[in-house]
Amino acid sequence: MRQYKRKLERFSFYDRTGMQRHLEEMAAKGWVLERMGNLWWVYRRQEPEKVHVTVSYHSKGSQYDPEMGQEQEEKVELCQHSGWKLVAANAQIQVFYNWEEDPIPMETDPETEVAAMHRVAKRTYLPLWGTWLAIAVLYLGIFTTQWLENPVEALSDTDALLRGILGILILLWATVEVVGYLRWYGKAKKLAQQGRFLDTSGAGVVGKAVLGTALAALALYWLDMLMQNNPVMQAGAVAYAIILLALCGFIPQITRILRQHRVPKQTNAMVSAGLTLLVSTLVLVGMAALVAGQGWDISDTGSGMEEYVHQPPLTIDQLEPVDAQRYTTMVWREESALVGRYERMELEEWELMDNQAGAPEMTYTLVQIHVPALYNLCRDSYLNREYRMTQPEPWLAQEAYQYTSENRTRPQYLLCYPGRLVLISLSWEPTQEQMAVVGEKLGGM
Amino acid sequence: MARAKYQTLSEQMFYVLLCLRQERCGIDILDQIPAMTGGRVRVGSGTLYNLLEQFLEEGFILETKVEGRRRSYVISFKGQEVLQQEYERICIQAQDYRRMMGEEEPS
Repeated sequence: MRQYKRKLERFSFYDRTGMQRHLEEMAAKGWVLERMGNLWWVYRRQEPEKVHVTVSYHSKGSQYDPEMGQEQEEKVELCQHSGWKLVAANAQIQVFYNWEEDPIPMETDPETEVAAMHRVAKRTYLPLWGTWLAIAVLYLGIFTTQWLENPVEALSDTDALLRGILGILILLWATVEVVGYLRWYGKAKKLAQQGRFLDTSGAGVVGKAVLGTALAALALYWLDMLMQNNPVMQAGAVAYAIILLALCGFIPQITRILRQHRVPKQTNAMVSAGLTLLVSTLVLVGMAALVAGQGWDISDTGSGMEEYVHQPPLTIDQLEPVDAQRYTTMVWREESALVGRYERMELEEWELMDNQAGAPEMTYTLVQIHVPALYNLCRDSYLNREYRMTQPEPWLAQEAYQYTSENRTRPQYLLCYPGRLVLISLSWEPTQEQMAVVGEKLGGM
Repeated sequence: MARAKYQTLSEQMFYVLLCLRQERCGIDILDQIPAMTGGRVRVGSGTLYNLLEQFLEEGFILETKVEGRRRSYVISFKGQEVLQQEYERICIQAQDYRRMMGEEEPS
């Protein structure tokens, strides 16, 4: 029978009522709190018993404080005198248990308690949430800019999507926490002046949902990197994993050991920050050395649309008899779970350009839409007033639009096929046969 | 209506300051207040710790010595003034009560 249990717990910092109730229920089931982390709490098995729990706030507390440091000693002794035993602490939150039948509560003056909680909020949590809100606004700002410029690029870029998702989640979480706290504080302060305590009801459910979704999004992003047929991306995924393991496992463990050995707060904080920097630098330098040593190509950092890496869907020589030596080819590819995008430019070399008669040139974007609901959105994002409907049949397409500028049509088309869009720009007017080749190669018809 | 900070003292604040007319450590205060009030007033240990921290910040009390885990405190001149103000306020309240209830003013 296991003696310890580790649980992912998510409470708002001010939700003392929720934490107390939860810990009393756990004790009644035979689990007492042994250790508190930011996310994981460790419980130790014990005989099921009735216990009174108080969550207390210590404004001078820090996650680097030595266990039972001088600051805490006075409070711990005072509390022990009334039967309250400190069982665990995390930064400014302390948990006390009392096994007496009817103990004197630790907090008997609501005004003092609310003031102590608000000192902790002002000192730590409100600035922290402010920082998270700033990060959320930054992420959403970057995503919105990309979306306004080109929705298809935003939807096919896994990094952009992750930033967008995390931005929304962080904004939601931080807003719920800040608004929830300020509402509670306003009411609690008024009631405290009448000598009454106010129970808390934190945003635990929202916090858990947000945390779960964010972790799932990060895990999917990480798996996506790992599954790429690109050793640089795979090495990057491994590097991320090592840094994450160090930040969430190894370094907090070192911090805890130093606290147990009563290493001074400043030393512990410096060692922890130094280790974070050292591990991150070592991993990144190691990755760079690996890439250089293996001679991996770092120019191809695109992801997805793997089927076209070695076999492009369409090359210019399949439409026009050209000398491939005279051409520069540029390719971009991105693919998310929603949309894939493959762009190809085949342009005549600048130095070889013949002013008398320019060689044919071709640029196209192939958009593969994985989520049917996004089809119209992607299509409409390309359509603007300059595109006019044209005959789709020669292109073997469902719909076709041609670019028109100053009432003159240009050889630039938006072609719609089942599940995919093609935006193609040619330097010449295509023949019926060439249109059919485009429909066959790019439209997959 | 919101109450200005320390313009009036809560009962627990009052007794903590009153206890510190003599130098005392936290545990002494925890024991002294119920003894002084016949068990009517009890101060929680968390509340006492926070009050001592707040009073030190406000300069109402002074730390006099540290012996191991124990710190001792005594009321300051400023704290004495606050305590005196609170006492006078309570007296005025009591006088008002007596007058309104038709009781005689104490001689």
